[in-house]
Amino acid sequence: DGVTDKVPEDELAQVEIFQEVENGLKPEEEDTTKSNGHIHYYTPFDVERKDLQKVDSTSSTKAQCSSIDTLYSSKDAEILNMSREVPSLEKVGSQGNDVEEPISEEFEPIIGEMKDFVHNVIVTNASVDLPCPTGETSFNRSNLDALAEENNSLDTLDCIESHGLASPAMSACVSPASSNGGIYTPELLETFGLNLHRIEKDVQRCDRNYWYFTGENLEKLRNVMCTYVWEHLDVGYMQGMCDLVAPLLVVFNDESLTYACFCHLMERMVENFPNGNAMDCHFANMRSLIQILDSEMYELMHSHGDYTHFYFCYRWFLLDFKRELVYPDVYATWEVIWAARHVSSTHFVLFLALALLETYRDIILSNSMDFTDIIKFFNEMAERHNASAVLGLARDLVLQLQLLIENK
Amino acid sequence: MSDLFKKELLFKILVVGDFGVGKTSIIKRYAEGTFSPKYKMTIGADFALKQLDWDSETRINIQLWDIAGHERFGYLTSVYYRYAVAAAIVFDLTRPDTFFAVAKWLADLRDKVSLPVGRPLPVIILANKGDVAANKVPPQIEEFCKKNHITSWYVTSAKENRNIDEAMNRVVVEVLENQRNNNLYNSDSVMLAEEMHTDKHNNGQLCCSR
Repeated sequence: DGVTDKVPEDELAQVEIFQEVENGLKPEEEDTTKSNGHIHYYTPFDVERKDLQKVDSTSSTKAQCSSIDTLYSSKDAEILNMSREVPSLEKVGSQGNDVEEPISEEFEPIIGEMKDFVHNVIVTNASVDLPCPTGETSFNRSNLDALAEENNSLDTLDCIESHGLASPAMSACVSPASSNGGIYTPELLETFGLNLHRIEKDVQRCDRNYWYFTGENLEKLRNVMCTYVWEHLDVGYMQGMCDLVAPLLVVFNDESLTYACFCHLMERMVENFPNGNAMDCHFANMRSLIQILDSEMYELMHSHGDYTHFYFCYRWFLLDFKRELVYPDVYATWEVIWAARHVSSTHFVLFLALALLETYRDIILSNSMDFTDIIKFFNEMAERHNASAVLGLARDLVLQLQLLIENK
Repeated sequence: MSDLFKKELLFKILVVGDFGVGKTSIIKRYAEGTFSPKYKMTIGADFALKQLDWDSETRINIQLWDIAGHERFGYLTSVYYRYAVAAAIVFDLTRPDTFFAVAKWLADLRDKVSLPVGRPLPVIILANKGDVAANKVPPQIEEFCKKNHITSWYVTSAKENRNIDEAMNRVVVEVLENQRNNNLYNSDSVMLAEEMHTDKHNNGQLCCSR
């Protein structure tokens, strides 16, 4: 099946890297005066060394992948446990409510929208990034407690709550039985063949301008992608998946780790692809947010061919901004998105999108851009954004919304 | 100076077809005159602009919309298709299955785009990668075109710049004809009912192979 056997040393090397990462974190963990919001390491998974060692390094890569995956899944789908990093942050409002409500076509009153956001936004220290004296923390906390009480009375939910929370970690489709051997129907094999064909085409043109993606490494990308599709035939291959695997592979340079991480990433991301409903939610949320935070921009979008459907953000959300940024910035941005779930908002991507839009606010307004203009503009700006400025602005926007809510 | 008096037209033309058939390459070739074997696959949509000095009185601004090959399965296409006046469906001569997908793309277009007066959207078919497999033109293509009122198809090569300008010019001609007929319709609707009918048939069968 093209998956090559791994040299055991590779696994050990990886284990050591994790150990280093873990050790490296400890001094910072104790140092509360240090910046809390930034994550300085690339490893998105809080992997326990023991877990990795459990994996039999002599078995085939695919078998390793599935066992790693099982281990991860059993860990409550927590990709990144940042809580120990941020002792001074207080979580406000309940988060994991499973009730879903259909999205209403009409705009709910703006205040209602905002309450939904409060519901979801975890209020942090005023500035996550800045070193903050611990004295200030308690002050903030008391403020936020009041906010929390207010929130307790709210149980309005909309689509904001309904995605991002993983679909079942392991698919229930028939193909995984393959790992144990078995007979497959011609239909199943044909479906898989079609998927392989699509994967092949996209692997060949995945980031081919980037030095890493040549010969041997493309083979790794292909293996990861094919394994994922075989294990998730009900999901299948969809365009964009290769783009999500690529940065992980560059960082890990290891098929099994990349595969395990990708599986976890897809738990959230799969809903953005054509069969999920997250994309519509993103667009609806963007619409509400821009109305609240920049009504002038909303007016412009509405009056110039009405592109308040926000389809121009499609690629941003589908790939977590991967196509918009250069590789080093993708790492930074992904880490912030992953960490933000735990320290600020499970919907931080919305604030990133807003930040990207607001960064060019003056250009957009002064040129009275319409849908075509804005698509062209952002396609041309791809990989030219100042990522740290955009990330900073995104944080400011979270705070801005929080302030707005508090003042109501 | 004379430019100031030119009539400016804006045509939105869609370029669709299965993934990896060369839509982006064709568009870049036409709009920028360049070719690279390293384009990324398109996510969502992209587009390019091309200005044509059509004749002494007319300047045409062409907006070429590059729709991602997987988008037919998505729900975004209708937004991208909006206000289009014509489309080019691309397939890859080296991959026969991409030709069979042409019918699906055509159905999607005809389903979602309608021109005023209910005319069908002018469509041409581009058999791309003609530099590698020019002799592999599917024999059914003539009949397919006839059956679906598609007046022309071309063997193209974005790499070798073959037939791209010719094909796009043909699209522009069809759009202009369409618009002239619409104007006629607006001025005299009784006459047009006849004319539209005959026009469609007289002007067909302009198939050319490379």
